[in-house]
Amino acid sequence: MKSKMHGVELMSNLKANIINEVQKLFLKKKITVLLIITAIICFLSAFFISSIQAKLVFIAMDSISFPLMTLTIFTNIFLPLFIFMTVAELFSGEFGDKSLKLVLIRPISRLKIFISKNIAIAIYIIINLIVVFIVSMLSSMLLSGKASFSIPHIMFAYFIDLVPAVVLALFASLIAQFFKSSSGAIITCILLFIGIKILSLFVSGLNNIVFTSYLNWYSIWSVGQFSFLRTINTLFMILSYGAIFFTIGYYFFDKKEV
Amino acid sequence: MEKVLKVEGLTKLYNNGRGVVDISFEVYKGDVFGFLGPNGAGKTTVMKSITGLNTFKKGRVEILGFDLKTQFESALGKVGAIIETADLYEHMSAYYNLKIASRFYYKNMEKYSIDEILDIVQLTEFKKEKVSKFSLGMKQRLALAIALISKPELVILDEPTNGLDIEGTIAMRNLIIELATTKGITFFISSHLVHEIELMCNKVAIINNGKLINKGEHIKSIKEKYASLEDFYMNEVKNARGGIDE
Repeated sequence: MKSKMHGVELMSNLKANIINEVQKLFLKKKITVLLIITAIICFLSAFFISSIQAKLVFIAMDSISFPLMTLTIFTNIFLPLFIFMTVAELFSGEFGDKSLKLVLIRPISRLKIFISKNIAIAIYIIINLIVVFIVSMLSSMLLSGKASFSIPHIMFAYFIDLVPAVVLALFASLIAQFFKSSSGAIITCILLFIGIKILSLFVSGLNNIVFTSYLNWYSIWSVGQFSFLRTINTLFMILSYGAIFFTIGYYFFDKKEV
Repeated sequence: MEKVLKVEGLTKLYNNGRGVVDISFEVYKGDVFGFLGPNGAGKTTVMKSITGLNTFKKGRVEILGFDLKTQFESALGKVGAIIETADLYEHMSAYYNLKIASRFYYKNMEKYSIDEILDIVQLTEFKKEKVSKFSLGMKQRLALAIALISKPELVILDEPTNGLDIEGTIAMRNLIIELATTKGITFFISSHLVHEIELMCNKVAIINNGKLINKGEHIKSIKEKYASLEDFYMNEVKNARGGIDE
């Protein structure tokens, strides 16, 4: 009876730790600054594009929706970087300063800790995407003075790009298990990311099967004919990558001695 | 008497061959159980294994009747601990450090409020200050507050006065004694200082070279047989070495 009672009460420790991890992130100045940088980058690129548009009128910019362009730039360059930094902070950083002990000695299993840290990172990604979405919409309206795009369409694009971003985060949290300093983990993640990108340029066929090619998944959807089967195939492939990264990452996290 | 902590045949060896072998002892409710041994004897290894920071292949640990390996969350539900160093989230205030720890214990569970616990460790006026600005003594007291927030039945402290100055050491020691006597908390405290154990604990176990050479005796009865706890310690260590003085 005692054990059952404990079990029921402790069920929500997963929720408790998700809140904790998110709070830990946002109480770090670095993380909040990154969000502000995201907003500035979005606004500056909008400004840059609109000024080019004014000078080079023959480029048919109108046909491209600005919020989707920002999404492409953001998901391929800045978001991976921010993901690596956040993951490194929550894993390697805590191994390094040993503050991970503070969670490990609480009544919560390591699996739940690992899940909650990854959910916190997913929440951080969502917040980032929301910031990009809002700033790019507002700045494009402000600078071009019109909004010639369909909002549900763009929201959908942002939503589906969340999936590969989370998988990239799981990849980073696997790498972060091997480092005791966040900078080491960040540099390794960046080098691996660039390495995979370069390799897929030279090895034919690799581009289709590697998860990093789908970071701006939406742009691939919109090019050419939409094939339901191919999309489902890709979705399952990305999810499989996620499952593999999660399992291996958790294996090492569970073995960790602090 | 109710058994709070039971360790049976615990063996934890690191890759370098060091570690602890076949450790067995029991801590009962109301005890302030001292775990005495020189540096590198394996005190921290045992404490890390008990709190799940280490994985061990051989042996069994039971806390408040729950098996650590199979019922981890229940076993640690009423435990507070400071292992090795007072680790804190340095970028946060004392308040947030406590807030984060308290979330694991729910409204219907008995726990201290943050203000109550800050008052106990005398850190109320530093509630909103960043931990990175704290002195070592303050950090140690805050770590103890975090360990106590859940109103634990067992508190595990690894060298709680390590690195503290004289005043800090006295404050920490008095706090532990007060909590044990007024709140009835069971303590399991490691130290390499005989004097420290003598002043705080009612029982003592001795660990040397990865092996437990004494499973826990009443300090009172030791003092009846020996001139001092120090004499007892030296005698036990000498016996463990086969009667040879070093």
